[in-house]
Amino acid sequence: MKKFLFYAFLCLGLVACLYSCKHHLSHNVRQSYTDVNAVLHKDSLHVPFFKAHFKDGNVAVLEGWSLNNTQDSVFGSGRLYDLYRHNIENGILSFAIDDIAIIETNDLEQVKSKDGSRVAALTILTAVNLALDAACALNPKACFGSCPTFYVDGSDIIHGANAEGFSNAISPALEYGDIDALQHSTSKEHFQLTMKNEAFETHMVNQVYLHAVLKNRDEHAFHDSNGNYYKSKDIFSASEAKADGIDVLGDVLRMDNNEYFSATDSFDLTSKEELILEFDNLPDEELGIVINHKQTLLTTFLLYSGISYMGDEVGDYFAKIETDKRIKKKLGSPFKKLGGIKMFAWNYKTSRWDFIEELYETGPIANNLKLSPIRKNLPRDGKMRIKLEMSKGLWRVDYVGLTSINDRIEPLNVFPSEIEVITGSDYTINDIIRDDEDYLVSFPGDEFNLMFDFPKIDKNQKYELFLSVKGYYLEWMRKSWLDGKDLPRLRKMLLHDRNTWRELAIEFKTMEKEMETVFWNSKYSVLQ
Amino acid sequence: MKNLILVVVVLTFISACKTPEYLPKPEGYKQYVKGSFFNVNMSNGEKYLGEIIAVDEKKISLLSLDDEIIFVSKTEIESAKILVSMTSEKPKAIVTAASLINLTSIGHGYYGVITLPINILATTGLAVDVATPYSIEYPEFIAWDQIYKFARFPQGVPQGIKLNRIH
Repeated sequence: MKKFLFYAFLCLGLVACLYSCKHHLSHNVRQSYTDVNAVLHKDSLHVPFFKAHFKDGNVAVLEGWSLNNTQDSVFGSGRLYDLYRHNIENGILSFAIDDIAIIETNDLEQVKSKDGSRVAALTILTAVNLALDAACALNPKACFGSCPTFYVDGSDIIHGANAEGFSNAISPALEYGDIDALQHSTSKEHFQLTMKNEAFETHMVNQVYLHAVLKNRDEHAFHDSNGNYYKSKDIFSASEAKADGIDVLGDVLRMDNNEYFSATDSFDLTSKEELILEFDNLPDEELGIVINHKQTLLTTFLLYSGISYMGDEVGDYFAKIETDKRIKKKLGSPFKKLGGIKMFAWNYKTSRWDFIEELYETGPIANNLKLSPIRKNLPRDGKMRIKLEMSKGLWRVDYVGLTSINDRIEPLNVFPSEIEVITGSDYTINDIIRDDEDYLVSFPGDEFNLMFDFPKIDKNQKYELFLSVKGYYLEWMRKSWLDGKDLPRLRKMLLHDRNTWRELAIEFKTMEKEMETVFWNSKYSVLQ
Repeated sequence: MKNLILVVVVLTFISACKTPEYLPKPEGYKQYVKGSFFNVNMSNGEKYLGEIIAVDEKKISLLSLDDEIIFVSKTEIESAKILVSMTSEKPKAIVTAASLINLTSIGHGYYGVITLPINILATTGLAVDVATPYSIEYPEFIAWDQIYKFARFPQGVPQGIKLNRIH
């Protein structure tokens, strides 16, 4: 009962606070100057931008302004609008001071978004509303977490999820879109994709659509990190693969979910390892690295650790993400310290490794199939050597191969034509086909079937499918996490304090082996 | 079942909290070049809402949401508010998330009797807050001769421009 009284007072306090805010402004939020000449020449306008209202009714918004040599014109970068406020000119603008009737300045600090405090309130409300399961209680940082998971053909095996969306977007300010290869092709005119919420999270899905690459049946299609799509005919697998001298070829030879991965270093989570692959019998042409990979549960552990250190101040921190750019930057890329998968090709002329690209995609559930074009290096005598450098215990590598990258191709964008709500609120396709303010909100256990229609194609052709998803999610605070509040430790973690990271490495080591089992057994559907 | 009906009613109610979408969002305020809005209660009980086009000593010209020019005499105004900008970048997303929190009360069983009304109060407050814009009240917080700053044409309507052509 005490818990409910506390809850009641907390919520009523929130209401009182919100109702007391009327968002009054001082009229000084805007200043006008009619003595334009004096204001500009005396340099008394200490603002980086202002609006110039002209005598003919036009208005210009100018930034980085200054006066010309003869002091009779002002120029700067900006936009000019006519009296109906249609934008008629952009770029570097210049005006005679005599044509300006009034200069207007605005104090933008007074009209800042209040969404930060609202997200904090929502987070607290969500947190106090949820009583969570016992299964996670023993090892709360191993509980299942995911973004929306996507399945082709009604598959129900979580290990077989074809994609997971926006894994890094843990608050509205961090909303972003990403593209995942579904690793599925179809020749049918109708296609169904199932979207599920299998974690204790609220998913806010802004936009979902497919990129469909038309290819012949004997061709492959890939995408790279820059949004380019390629078709290719041949894929070349490695003839040798060694990780720190040990043969791991069997783990990276086929896309079969039999992955290469290692254990973390006991004391240093940034400790690196190298995977070196040899390729033979290659054609003498431009190639790209094909890599199928995903993360281990290390980043999940670190995210949950960070949130648990916030304790009951989690709402405040998430509010700061909305309003404080520095906090947003810190929490927006908390795993930067761990790094991605750095790829290198051996340069036979200089006898050195040439850097190709660093891949990074958060998420331990669905594999990411990517292509990295090798621009500088060609095979020598049909041979090529590739090196992957990554943090120990952070990545699961299912496949590494090479492919020719002759054909770049524009994909067809296909939006959902229908939504079938299996579990969840009644949404329509209008909520997810545009990048706007309409969201599909999904709660644990919710499931939606998205239907897509494709143009008819020849019998020997297929569409290779890539999923584009934009949105963000709110992690539900676990009751057991509240006990782990440690703000100094959170600060040290974010500031990359060596001792704190050493302690995190030791803590992770104690659960590394069992974490997989606990993680997969604590997803929402298993607990129902 | 009663809980479910109540929640549906509340969701509908909260969703009906209309955000003033004609106002700029905070991020867009810097580039906003139209006039602020004037929400006025007249002494005869009538109410008007429109973009402030220009202000002189005796009257204010407003462009209504239906693109009609309305002249409001200073002496007939009882109270008014200058609506400057919205206070939220994503009002719809926040209101939706707030309204859905009420659904969690269904799972609270017996305690839902306590948590549902509290949730409703809290989330309704949040929805109202999102819909409340930044404003300046007249005559309490701004003098008549300062309102011109918030007009589309603070310098007055340019010569040769007919007000009924403004949109």
